[in-house]
Amino acid sequence: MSLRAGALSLLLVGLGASGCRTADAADTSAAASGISRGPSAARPAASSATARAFYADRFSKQPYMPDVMALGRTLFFDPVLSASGKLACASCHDPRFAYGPPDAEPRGDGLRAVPALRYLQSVPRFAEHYYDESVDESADQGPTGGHTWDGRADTLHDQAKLPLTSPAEMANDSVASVVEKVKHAAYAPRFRELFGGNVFDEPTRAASALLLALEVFQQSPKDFYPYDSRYDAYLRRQGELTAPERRGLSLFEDPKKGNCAHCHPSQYRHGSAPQFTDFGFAALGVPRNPAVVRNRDPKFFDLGLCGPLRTDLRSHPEYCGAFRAPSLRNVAVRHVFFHNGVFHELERAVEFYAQRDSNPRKWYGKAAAFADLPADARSNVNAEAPFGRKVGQAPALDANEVRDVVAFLQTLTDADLR
Amino acid sequence: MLTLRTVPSFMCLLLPVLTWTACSDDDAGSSTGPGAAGAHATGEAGEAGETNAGKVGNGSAGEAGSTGDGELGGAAGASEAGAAGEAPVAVGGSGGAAVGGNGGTAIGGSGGAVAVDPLVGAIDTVVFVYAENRSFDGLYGNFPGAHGLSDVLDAQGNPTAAYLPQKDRDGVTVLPKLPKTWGGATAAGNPTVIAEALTDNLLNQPFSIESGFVTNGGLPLTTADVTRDLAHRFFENIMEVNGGTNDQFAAFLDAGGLTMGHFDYSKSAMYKLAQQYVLADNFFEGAFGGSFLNHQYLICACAPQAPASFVASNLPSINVLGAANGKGVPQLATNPTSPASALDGPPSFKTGNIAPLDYFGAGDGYRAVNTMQPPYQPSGNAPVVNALDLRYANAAAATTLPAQTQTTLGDLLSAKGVSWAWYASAWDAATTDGRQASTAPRMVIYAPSTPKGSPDFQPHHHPYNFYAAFDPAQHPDVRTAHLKDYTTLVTDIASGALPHVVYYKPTGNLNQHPGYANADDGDAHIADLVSKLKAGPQWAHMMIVITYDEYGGQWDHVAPPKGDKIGPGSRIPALIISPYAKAGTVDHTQYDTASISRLVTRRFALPVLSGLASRDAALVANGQSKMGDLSSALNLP
Repeated sequence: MSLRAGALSLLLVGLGASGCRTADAADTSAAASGISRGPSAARPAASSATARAFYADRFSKQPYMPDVMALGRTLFFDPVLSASGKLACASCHDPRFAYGPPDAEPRGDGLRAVPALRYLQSVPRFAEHYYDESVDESADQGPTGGHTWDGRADTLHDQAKLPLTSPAEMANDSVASVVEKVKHAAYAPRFRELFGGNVFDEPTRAASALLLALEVFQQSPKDFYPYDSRYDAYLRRQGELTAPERRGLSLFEDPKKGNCAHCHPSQYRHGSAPQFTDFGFAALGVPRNPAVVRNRDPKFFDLGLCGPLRTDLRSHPEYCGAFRAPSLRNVAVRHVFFHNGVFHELERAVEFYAQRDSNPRKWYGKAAAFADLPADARSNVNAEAPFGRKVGQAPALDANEVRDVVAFLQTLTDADLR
Repeated sequence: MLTLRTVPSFMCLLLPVLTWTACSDDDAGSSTGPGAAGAHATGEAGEAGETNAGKVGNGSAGEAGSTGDGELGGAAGASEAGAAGEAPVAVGGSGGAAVGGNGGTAIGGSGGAVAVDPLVGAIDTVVFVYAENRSFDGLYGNFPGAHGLSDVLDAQGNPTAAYLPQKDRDGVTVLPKLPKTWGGATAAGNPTVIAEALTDNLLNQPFSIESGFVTNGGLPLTTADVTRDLAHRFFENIMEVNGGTNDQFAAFLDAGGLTMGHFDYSKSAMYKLAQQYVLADNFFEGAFGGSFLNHQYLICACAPQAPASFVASNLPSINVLGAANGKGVPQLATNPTSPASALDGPPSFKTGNIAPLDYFGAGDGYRAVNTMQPPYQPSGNAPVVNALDLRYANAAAATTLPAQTQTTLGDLLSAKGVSWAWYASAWDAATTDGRQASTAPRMVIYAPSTPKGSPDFQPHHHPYNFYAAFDPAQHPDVRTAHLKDYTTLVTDIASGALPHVVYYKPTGNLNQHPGYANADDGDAHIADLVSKLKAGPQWAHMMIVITYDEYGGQWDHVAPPKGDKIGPGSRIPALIISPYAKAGTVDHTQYDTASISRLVTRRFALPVLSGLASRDAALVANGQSKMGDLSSALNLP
């Protein structure tokens, strides 16, 4: 199974994979991920299976989870966690912006836009072949799931490691060095109370406690998935949408118009509130962002699933250029859109979908379409509606319709952000 | 609480009339009246035989004569062997007679005095209601008199020596605690939220879903809450059951520890019906795994075939097996990303919809074991682009199963002229929804259900629609005659027009399936249906069987009997409701999903589906009892 771009394009790219490899060679920060994805060794012995498990009992005291959640909140807002002592998780993942970036400024090396951290509680682990038991469980949905734009972190604690040690972000040389700072922080006694007096005796145990606390904080329902947008109220028959919002919803769902709900489902699925993402991957062919430092090298391409940050799928040219569909909940409070943050206004992002293929000149100028991908990966780009129009055809959505879709997207903002 | 005998009653039926009562007496613990009841049966049998003439083949000399090789000898087996010859099914051979169904019609065969199965006089209408995805322990683990959680927990709720703790993926290490429930225990947007972190640190033992997360700081849950879905697939279920120790549910479930959770269902309407009538506590899903295969097994006692040409052209996903474990239990191959320990995350298997080539026997080919889609609308697969005939699903899709041709119970009923229908909520709406151009949005099939409930019709829950006998172009009349909407069920109940054999399948919002339905909504719906049935004119001779298609990923402590390669799998609840029910009892007789078919086979003297016979043969070969036909739950005259 493949990306949802469609099988046709995949057949075309199977022969030339070199573009992806070139990009990988340029990669320097992949090692920061700390995630091993190599072919599995022989099945580990019984004892080691449990010993290696992150969630196994490794603390001398069983922590009470609501307290761990509170400790995680403290850590999340503490700049001590960064090498500079100036950058907290919350600096880039600002609670006033759905735990996303507070402005349009590039962060770190600016390679990828800072994702929002709300509504990540049901992100499945990454799978190349994904069967959604809650929809049509017979269908292979292709690559799906995982945290970050390329899905390379399976859990929130795996994810938490990435920014702590990424040179472009908090820039610690190891998680152990973060632990060393936490050990001397004002809340260190709290660690001992929750996880046992010996929690700092072993760096790995203390690192587990630290990552667990960050993970558990991000599972706080009222902070991270309140489901209290105006649209949630509308679905529960507790509120109304305005006429433009209703029109926007209809365009959002119409397979012949926006077709947005195809990848960003907007309705309850079997009793579960809509996540506005199916956690799938797609290559959208967004324009190259000149603000990305590494883009100064014309041979550099960020190829998402097949590199450079992710390293286990380099040999899959059919995945090059694909990034995970983010949730559109709270999208209206964002200032950067798509994986490279090339657009800074929501309306512009919606226009891109509506006009990418009917008016490519507007998006790519004199460059070739999809110029942010190497030539041999451009056939991976999704051509399903609203894409797939011919140059000069009417756009999938006209100006009024784009405005209506934006009006609808604004109803997805949680109550505390309005 | 009375307990019922476990000696299958058919053994008695197969004996000459005069020994019937004696046989009844010999059945320890039987609550059927001996003596007088036996005499009564003989009297009524004659009448019943007359009134049912034409529908039910009364034993005649013509039907006797050919042989049944069943263990109980030719005399009884002979009764249906003649009929078997008319149907395209292997009958009469291996153990056919022993299944119990056959003895029904003409006990004594060509002998002078013909005795009729008392079931014939008692039951005229058999109604099956098929809810979704609950294990026995998950709902009825605290049912008085049933083999429930008290088998493994003491009065304080602590595990006894009988509890086999959950083991990690290595099959050796006892899990020091249950894995977390990945993604949290509640469905997204459920008013009460049990976040993943609040599911950690649960003891390795069964726990109450209502109160289990409170110690972690979570709020209490109820049967009105929608809990998360748990995977329920063929090989995964085999691995979880692990040869009968049921000790790798937590290891191989995608949901983690939630598998060990159970509800207190005692406030529900169905629980009260179970107290009022009969609860079967030894009833197993006919097939390992999910809804698709169990619905298929319900009607054909078989696994659907996937022709090699289809596998070659459509490239459906195929399960990949690694080496079997030390107990010989098949194990799916894992992906490199699959965590070694269940504590670290859900497993990632090389799982698919089709079993490996010849899994079910040398030369057997491919069979579908996980969800595939019917070739006819309503199907999960839309018609082909620009289809001229919108009644078909896209046959080129990897998940569209080619039309099936194995013999079904429906075939046998139709051949015998016994009326039957498969009723489904939203059937008509789903048919209309499916017969739209491929580009049209679908609003009913696998459609999202809102909090206020849109129907959420699931095509893989409708097994007859996979069969060539229901081809919409070739056999539109067959479809009309046998595939009907719930609205028709309601009017047929009221007007007394129900056929002899009734299947009813509720839609997704009403079927109690975790992940997309709570227990309460389906409970109310099914209890309402039972009220309607009881108020209808056919109630006096009706038998209602309410069961679940499968275990839904939920642990159950009872080892399934060792059967054939299809199943049986985990234990599920089943209720038998009838004026003839042994009211207020728990029936410990061993049953599986196809016991329903066994009952119908016996009552209407049908040829025996080969899968029923081969299941019994496999059970016997493994030193187990054969499957009962549900008649032990009845007081038959």
